[in-house]
Amino acid sequence: MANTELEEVIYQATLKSGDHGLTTEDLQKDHPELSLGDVADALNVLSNKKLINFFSVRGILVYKAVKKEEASKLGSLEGDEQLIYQHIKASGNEGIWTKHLKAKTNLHQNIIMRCLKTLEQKSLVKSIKSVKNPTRKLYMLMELTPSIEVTGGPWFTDQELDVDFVEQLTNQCYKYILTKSFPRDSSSIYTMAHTTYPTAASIRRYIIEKRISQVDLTVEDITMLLDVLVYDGKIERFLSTVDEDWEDEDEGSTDWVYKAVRTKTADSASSKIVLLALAVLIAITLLSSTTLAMPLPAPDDGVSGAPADTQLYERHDGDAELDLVSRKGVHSSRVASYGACYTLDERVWDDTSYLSVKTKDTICAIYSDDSCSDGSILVKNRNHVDVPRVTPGPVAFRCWKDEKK
Amino acid sequence: MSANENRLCKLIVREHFGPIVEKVANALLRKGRLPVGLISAATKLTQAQVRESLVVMIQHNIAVYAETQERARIVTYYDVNRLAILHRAQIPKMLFYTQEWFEKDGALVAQSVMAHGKMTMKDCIKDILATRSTGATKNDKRSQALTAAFTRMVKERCLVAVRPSDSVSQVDRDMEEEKRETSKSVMPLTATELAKIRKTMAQSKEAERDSANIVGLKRKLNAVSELDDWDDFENGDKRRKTGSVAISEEVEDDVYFRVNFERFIIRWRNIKISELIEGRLNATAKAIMLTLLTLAESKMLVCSEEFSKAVSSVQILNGLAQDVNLADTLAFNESELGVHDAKPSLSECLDKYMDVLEEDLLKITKKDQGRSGQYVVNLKQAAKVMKHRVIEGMVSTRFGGHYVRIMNMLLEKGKSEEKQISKWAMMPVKDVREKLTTLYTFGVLNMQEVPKSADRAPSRTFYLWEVLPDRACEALVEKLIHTMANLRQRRFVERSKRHVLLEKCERTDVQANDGLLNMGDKRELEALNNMLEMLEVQELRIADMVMTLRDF
Repeated sequence: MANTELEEVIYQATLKSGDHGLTTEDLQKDHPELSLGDVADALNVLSNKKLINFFSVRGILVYKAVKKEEASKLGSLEGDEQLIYQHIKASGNEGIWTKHLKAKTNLHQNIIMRCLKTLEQKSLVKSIKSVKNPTRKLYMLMELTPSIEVTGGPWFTDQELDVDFVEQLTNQCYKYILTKSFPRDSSSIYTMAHTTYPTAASIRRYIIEKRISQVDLTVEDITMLLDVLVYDGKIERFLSTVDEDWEDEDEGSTDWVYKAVRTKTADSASSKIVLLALAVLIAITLLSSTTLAMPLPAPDDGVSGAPADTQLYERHDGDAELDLVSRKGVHSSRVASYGACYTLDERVWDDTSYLSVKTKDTICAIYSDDSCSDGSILVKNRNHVDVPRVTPGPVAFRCWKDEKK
Repeated sequence: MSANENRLCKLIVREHFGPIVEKVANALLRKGRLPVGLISAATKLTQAQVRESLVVMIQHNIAVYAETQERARIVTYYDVNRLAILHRAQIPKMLFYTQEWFEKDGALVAQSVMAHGKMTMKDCIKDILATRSTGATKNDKRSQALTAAFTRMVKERCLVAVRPSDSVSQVDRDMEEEKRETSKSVMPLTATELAKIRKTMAQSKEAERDSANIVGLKRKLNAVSELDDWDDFENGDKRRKTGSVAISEEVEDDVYFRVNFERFIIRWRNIKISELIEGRLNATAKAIMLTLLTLAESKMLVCSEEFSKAVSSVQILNGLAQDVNLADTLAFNESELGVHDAKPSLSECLDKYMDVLEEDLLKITKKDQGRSGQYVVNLKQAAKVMKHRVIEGMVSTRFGGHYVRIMNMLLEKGKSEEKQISKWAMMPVKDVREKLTTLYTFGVLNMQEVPKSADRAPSRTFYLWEVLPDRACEALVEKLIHTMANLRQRRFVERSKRHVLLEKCERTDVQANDGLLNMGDKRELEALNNMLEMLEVQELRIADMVMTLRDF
């Protein structure tokens, strides 16, 4: 057997054994025809080519194969560079600091710096900065992505907490929860039977669908944001009462649901001042012993405020016909006027139903949020559409006449 | 007991009783209890002046005395009652609410009683009729109306009877009583016996306080009541019809009464709890809460009780005002609606509201144990929430929302280090550090050092931060009292700046004819009045916060 063939056989055998490595006995068991001397020669050659590494496990010599592409990288490196490369590789996606590298390799600082420079030039390693110690320069292999420990997760850009990003996202979360926490009529509240308060998972879905964040966020990330909102006193969290039965089955995954806290309205605060001012006024009138004939204005209850979408229930003249269709048939239908923004109540719109819009000469746009803002458009420029319910939140639509026609 | 509190007390006394009484009060505030001789030495006033001042203060329930035997003679010591002085800052608010609850007559009664410190019902009515006479013919009717108002206020414990013993200081009264008990036995008492005596004394005191009958009211048999049924105040109405005779309650003629601020504070607390609920839920929930608390009020005697008396939902339904909208302010699930989307009945709606209140995350309302349909209010918890709200409000208006976030987080998580705080609050460490020190100096936070090495170098020390609500309350009350004193002092300064104008206004000829004031004077006077009103409103608002933080 030619030497090169023998080398190839041994190399393939070691490669096959993978991370466990191969001992001489294993090799002889598989290939009894090989003589030990030939094997030793071949291993030496392979080792010179950096295709094989030797390890000693409990006194027994173990061989491990090195992939060819890696070997070619290593082949071009000098001894010190190799050593440093090995250490950097061992540090994985955590990276290693130059000081630690120095302690481990016992090389001089200058040599390490030189080696790192060449390694960087060959684009084998890269330097990164850790969130924890922004002044330290960490090195890791080029092809690896830094771990969350090092980058700090989605909230960090350039090793700094992206305060604006966090603020924006928390605001969006709060708005979403607020719309889900109270009925449209601002003076009423949900009964205990209402259970569709949002969870972290549903908020995540909302953020992904609305494309609010460019970064991929996990449920844990969202939970962090929601915790912050809880501490801000803007929302509250509690355990959903419905899922108690199967809570026992998957222990550990407690499902928090979130509910917004009503912020104090400005007029209640001002009415309080008025009240105190009246108190002073009365005291003055009493103490200055004038008559108490001054009539007191009736206490201001605060403006109850008509529901924002009263026009929804009024019939307007227009050409758009809107039907909410479910499996049972047409659920509700109404005629829309041009330009007005309509919001569909989520409660009458279940998963199986879809919205059917027929128009004569109008153009209809459907939005995936209830603000009719142009950023969230789902369907546009058609005069007949059926929109299935894809989004969990409310859907708004607006019809208007095509000016060009 | 702080310098700020002393200053505020002093200023209140100056405004209400003048500079000489202020001197006496100041000496007592700063030095504690003193006999007349020492007060006169400390104030450089004559003994007669001191005595007169003390009479004024005792008459107005802000001073007490104690007699102790020192060798052969009996020495009388005098002391001030700080709490009573501080309550006087709330007089305008008290008068406003008496007008709300007992109408104009009630306010007149309260004002008259307040002006005289303590007085009997006869004197009070005579005083009101004298100052606001409406002609002799109407006087009879007026005095009847005023009697009714006075009686109602006594029944609802807004006025309480004062006994001679109330002018003796509480500590001395207790000591006296203890002495009487201990002197019964010949042998010196053991510690356990003494403890037992103290315990029975405390119990009997509590029993006296909790007893339903009100001192100063006597029962009277009336012929069948063609008298109109007056509004009954839960169990205040003791009138029982027996055959053709009814028992009604009347105020005794020779008993003196004073305004009971504790009752007002309890009522204000109840109003605040219902406002808290309104903020979280809606106006209907507020009305329900207020009804619940009003029904339970007669059994509330001190602010520190933990739970209110149990009230059934039937009582609440009967007690609710007619215009409270129960059904339309709930958003029902489809499953809760009847056929043709019919809404549930009123009592069902109320039950749903009670469910919502009970499940509310503040945990203020809860079902009474063992009895169904009975609800109690956790007053301690409500007070805790309200205190927290006040602190939160102060922190957020003064510093901003981020500070509130840190505070709330520390409250929930307990002692934490700045790195953890920065992670949870999602703020950079350097911002967190700055905010923590700001909050620390403001008095909200508490810091604990944990050194890693014996040398206690700052770099090798953990700094753990936490919020201790009680301590935070104390620190903020201190700040608020300081502000109140400043506002009050400012009023004096503003007035003294324009004393020439004010003196001119008080001249009898000017009072008779305000044409004697020129335009500039009038403008100046108006500006002054506006400013004084603003300062007064501010002070009342702060007094409100102090009340929440300290008295609830």
